[in-house]
Amino acid sequence: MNNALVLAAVIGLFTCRHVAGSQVHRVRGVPISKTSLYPADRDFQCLDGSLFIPFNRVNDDYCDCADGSDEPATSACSNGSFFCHNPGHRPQYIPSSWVNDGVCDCCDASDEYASGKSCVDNCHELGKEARIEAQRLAELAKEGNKIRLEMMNRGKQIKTEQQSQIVKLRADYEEAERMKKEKEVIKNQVEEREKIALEKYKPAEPERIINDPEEDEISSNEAEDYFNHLDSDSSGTVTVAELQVRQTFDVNRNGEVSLDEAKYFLNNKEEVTLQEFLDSAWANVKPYVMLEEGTFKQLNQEESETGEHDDPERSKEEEEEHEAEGEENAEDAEIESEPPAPQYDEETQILISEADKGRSQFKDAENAVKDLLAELRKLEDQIDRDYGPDQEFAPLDGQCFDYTDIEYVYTFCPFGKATQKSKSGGSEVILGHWHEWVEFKGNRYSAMKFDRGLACWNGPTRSTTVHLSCGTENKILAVSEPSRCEYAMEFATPAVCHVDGIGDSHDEL
Amino acid sequence: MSLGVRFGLFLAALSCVYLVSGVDRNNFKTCEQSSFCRRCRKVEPGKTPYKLLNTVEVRETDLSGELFNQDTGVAYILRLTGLADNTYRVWINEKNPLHPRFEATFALQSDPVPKKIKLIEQTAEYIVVGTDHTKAKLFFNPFRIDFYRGEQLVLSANARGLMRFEHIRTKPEPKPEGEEGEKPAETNPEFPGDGADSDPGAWEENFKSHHDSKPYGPEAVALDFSFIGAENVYGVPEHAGSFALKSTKKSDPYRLYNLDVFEYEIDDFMSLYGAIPVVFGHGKESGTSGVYWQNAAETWVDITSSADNNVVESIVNFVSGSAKKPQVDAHFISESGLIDAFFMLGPSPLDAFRQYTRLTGSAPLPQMFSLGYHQCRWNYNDQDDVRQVAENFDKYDLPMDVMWLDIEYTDGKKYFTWDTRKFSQPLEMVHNLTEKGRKLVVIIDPHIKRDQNYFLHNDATNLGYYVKHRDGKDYEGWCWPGATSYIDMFDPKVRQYYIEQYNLDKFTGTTNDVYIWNDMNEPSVFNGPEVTMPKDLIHYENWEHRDIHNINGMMFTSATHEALFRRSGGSLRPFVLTRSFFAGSQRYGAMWTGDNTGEWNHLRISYPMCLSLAVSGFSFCGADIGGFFKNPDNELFIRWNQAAAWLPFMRQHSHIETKRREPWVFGDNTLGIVRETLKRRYAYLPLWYTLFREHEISGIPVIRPIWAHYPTESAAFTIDDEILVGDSLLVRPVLEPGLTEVSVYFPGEGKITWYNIDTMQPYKQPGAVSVPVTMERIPVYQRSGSIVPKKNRSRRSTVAMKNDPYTLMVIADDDGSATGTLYIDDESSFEYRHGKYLYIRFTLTGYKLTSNFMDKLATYDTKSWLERIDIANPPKNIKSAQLTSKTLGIVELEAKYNTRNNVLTVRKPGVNMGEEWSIELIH
Repeated sequence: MNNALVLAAVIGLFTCRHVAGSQVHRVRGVPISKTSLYPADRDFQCLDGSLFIPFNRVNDDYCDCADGSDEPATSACSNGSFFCHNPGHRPQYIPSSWVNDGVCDCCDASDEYASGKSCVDNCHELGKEARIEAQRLAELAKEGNKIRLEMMNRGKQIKTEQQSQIVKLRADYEEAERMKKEKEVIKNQVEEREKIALEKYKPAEPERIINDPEEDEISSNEAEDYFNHLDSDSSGTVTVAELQVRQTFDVNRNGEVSLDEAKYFLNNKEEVTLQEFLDSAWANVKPYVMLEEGTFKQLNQEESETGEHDDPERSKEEEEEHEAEGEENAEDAEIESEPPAPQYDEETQILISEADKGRSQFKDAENAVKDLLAELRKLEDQIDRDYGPDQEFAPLDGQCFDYTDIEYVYTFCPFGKATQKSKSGGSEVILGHWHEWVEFKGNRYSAMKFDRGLACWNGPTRSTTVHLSCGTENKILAVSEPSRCEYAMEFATPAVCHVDGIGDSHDEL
Repeated sequence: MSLGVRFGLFLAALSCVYLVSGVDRNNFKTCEQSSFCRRCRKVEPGKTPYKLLNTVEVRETDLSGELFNQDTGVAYILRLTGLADNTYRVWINEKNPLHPRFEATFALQSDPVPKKIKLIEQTAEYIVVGTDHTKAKLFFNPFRIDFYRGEQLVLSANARGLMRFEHIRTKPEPKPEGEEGEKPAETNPEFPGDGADSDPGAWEENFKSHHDSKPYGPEAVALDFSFIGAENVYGVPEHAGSFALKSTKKSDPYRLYNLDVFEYEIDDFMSLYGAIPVVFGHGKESGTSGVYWQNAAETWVDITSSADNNVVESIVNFVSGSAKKPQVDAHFISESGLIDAFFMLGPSPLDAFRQYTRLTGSAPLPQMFSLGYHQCRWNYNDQDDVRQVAENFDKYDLPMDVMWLDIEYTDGKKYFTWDTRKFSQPLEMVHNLTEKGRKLVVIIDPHIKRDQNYFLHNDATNLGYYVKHRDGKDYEGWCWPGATSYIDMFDPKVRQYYIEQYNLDKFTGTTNDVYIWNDMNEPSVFNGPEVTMPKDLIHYENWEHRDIHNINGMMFTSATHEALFRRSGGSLRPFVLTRSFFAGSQRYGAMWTGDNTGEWNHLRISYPMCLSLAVSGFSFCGADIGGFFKNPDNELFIRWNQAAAWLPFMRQHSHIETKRREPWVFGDNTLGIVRETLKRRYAYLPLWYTLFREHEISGIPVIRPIWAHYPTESAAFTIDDEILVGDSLLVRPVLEPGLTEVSVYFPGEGKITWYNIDTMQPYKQPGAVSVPVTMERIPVYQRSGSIVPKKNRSRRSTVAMKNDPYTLMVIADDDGSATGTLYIDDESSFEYRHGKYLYIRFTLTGYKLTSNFMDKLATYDTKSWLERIDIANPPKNIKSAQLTSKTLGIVELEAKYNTRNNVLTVRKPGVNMGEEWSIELIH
């Protein structure tokens, strides 16, 4: 018989230990709690009940049971598990394929009993280290938990504030709407009077007065025209599908307008009404329209240098610049083309100035409504946000955290965005906008997913997953890029510290 | 590795460029764009100007004579040599060349063994020489050579009269103005010339923005070979096309010119990274024969078949008198060098394959670890990444033997250095791997960064080790590091220098457990013509790059192989992976099919590509699992792993722009399937290892086309989605999405039954049968009458499996017999060459199964023992078994019959594999 078999036969079957004065049979590779399933005085029944085998076939280095239960301490069954007692440290199961494979896996060295590999029993050392570490983590969790409770309170407070603010805002909004309507009535009245008065001066330039060309009305007309242009089925809404047929919106120039690309322009909606289009979508659309028309030279050039096409933040800024420029031009043009003003009599003049006043007041009221609406939407958005079961993540909203490695400075703004900036300069690269929580092992708030970042060459848009762990301060611990354009951050925060350890991504000891 | 990044940067600079993926064919020449190919392809059949003078001389092992070109008046030396094992060599050069021509003899493992030939017959028209079994019949005018196996004509050279041997000439003086149109004054009216002079590409040639100065002018060689009776021809890898070669009547010829083809596509004819100029013809009646065209210059091969209707019919009629006989012709065209052709006359497929490896060598037995699973990516980012990925293989219970590092481990692409920020402790990283029985492979490429702070660049510059321009200046190209030059591996001093760089005290951070990957060795030059070196560069001893291009990659790999051999003091078997290769490269390591794409058609093509390599001497072949470019979905990923588990080299690799694709990122279901796939690969490693050893000894391929063992089954001649592993397993991967059944061709014409290795369900019906498939596995069958050795225990690496016991899978044929072999040694060292091994034959005859040492003098002290024997289709009513061996004496064993799958299991014979034994089945 060869060496391995002899060893297996002699020491593989079972060992004896004195426990509290009585002798207990202990089957190698089996925890004491399961020893009773391996009675030495009768045939062994495979734990799945499928077969009875003589007890001397337990741990005899041949797999008899389909479930591998007859060979807990040999590698004979591919599906078996070996139990390391690891006195002084945590006990552990390892795959039985790791038994006697020349690699020390159990800290008590029990898995390499016949491979010739000499393993050292370092369970006491490791156990000590582990206990110290466990203690450290427990203290961390305790400290962190205190802060979490504070964050929770702050979060709830924020929520309450937001709720009362939203009530106030809604009231203000309604009031503003009412005011707007009132002013509109007044405006209509004075305009009607003005119109009648001006009748007599007709056809001497009536529309100049009516069409007082405010800048954003031009813009809004242009936007409206473009809306109608896009709304190919004249349904009154612009849909994703209507955008997808237009090359203008092929942000990454891959020859087709993807759903994501189209949705970007509609702020992630499937379709928008004219009002929604004017309020928000037009700002996204405009740079690309201009790019297409060749009027957006500056952006175009810069893009050529950096190869970045779809940085919405930057595009917006430039768009604003451009709009400002456009306004000047419009004014210039107006001055040049203005015909000589006709002479009105005094009464008419009064009516005109009353009408102007009515218009201006209406305009102010209208703007007030717009502003309130925007504020309201923002707040509604926030209030709907999932800040954790106890609002403990709410205080993080609006904050940003930096992390510097060899080449880059990374910034992470929870519920906002993640960015990367080269230390040697260059523009900020968006690694993703807040998307959603990621569940891991039953913990709904285990990681934060940011997506729709800057598109990669020949690849996806950048995205970032931020894994949360317990810490007494909010801090980025590490940043990596496991796959090209898919970033991973480790973020420590008290918001996930629990005294019972839940919510901490570290393994419990 | 590829040009991806370079393209990325380039495109990023032009933000609005419309991206198109796939190969840009405009970067590569057509035959018409290549002057020598154009000239040789235009040669009209049936009008050869060559005649053999009847002053031939027959000596002990060869015949020599003089050829004369009646168009040019140039004389040539012809030598025909008889070689061992039904092989002939025909060598032709100019009688008085103006300068020497390159001979690619480095491809040969040693001088071919000559064989005595005798003069058999001589007439005014021909002379016949040969041996007892074969003969060569040389016709004087027009010149032609016919090769006979017995009385059967199997091969013919210049039967179509397409031979062309452009003699080296002096460049005509530029004509003074106004004197154009006339032929050069020195033209002898007796000899009209070969027409090369009037080709505008004869003395210089442009392709895109590249100029080739062609200082030696036209010097092409070409010859046609007719495979009489062949229905198909195979070989001339590397091409991403079908195994059976297609007619080139309506396409460009097959091209052999080692190139880094960015995002290559499925294409039968385009060049790829490697070139093996060997072609085998096979027919049901004719058997197999082959031609090895030993030439390292750019080569094109035209294939014409009698099935194309009429092209070759006149010759068929002429040589055989039968118009019905099939025939395939191969017309080899090379830019320079000389004619050095080897004729391998078979008769069987395995004979012809062996005859080729007797010339260029077989692959030495690799270390066991290299047959395990390899995990690669461009790039594992840093040492923690490597550790984490390796740990996850344990965590997810997946066997894995080797972690790989692509170019990013280096300091700025300076090979033999480390990026010390990302890999600050390489020795610790290696140790973490070896502790678990694993290895590391790192990449070393042949381009050297032109960086004055780089020792290798400074040494190479100062010592003159770089490939040079004609004016003696170092050539500078563009590759991964930016500006690069290329060390000239043809120079023995350079080789010596390069080999020394691998010494462990020089290449710090490496150990004897670190092995090497050679990429980009075509060589790839991003800004060069066709992404490689200009042809007029100068190598050692003044050879032009033109002359040596196709063997360039092999010179690099062979030096790496030598370096690893010496590094361990000759004790450990080297492992080198190469992308570029030539005839003979199999002696130095493994190859893979380069930068493929994660699409179904690329998975599909990996089988014919590796089959083509295998019959061309190079068995150790694999393709990047999942495809280098693009991201495979779950189904493609699963099918790719399942298919790759049955190719000799199994490695996952991916582009830097792709998503991670370690098996656990695809979810639990996919992970589970891939786990079983990897475990099955490992379970069959004893078979793979035995086959590699048998390949080393006999030269026959590890994986084989069906017709290799079933040469008369015409229906199998074009099957290339199904392979034989050795002669006992039949593998039919699933190569298309969404399939619930596949067509499996069962060879053997009903005399053989094939058993599904999972269910042991027998398939008796021969020919194509539709078989259901699930996602879990692909159909694999074991042949009745075979015994396959396995190790069924699952372990984390091959090192951990070394002492594990064996299981024998026996399938009794209808006579109750079966045989198989098993080879065992230390799995890593060269001790086996000193008799430290076991080579065992297992034989089942009726009720008795025996183990016998085929080599009685060899010994190896193994700890492995016999765990289990499964016998399918066993003798009836077996009650028990009885083992007899020298040390155990007689041992009673339990034998249990499973009625569900008709398998008898003999429980735990327990005998050590190091002794002979027999087992009697008791009924």
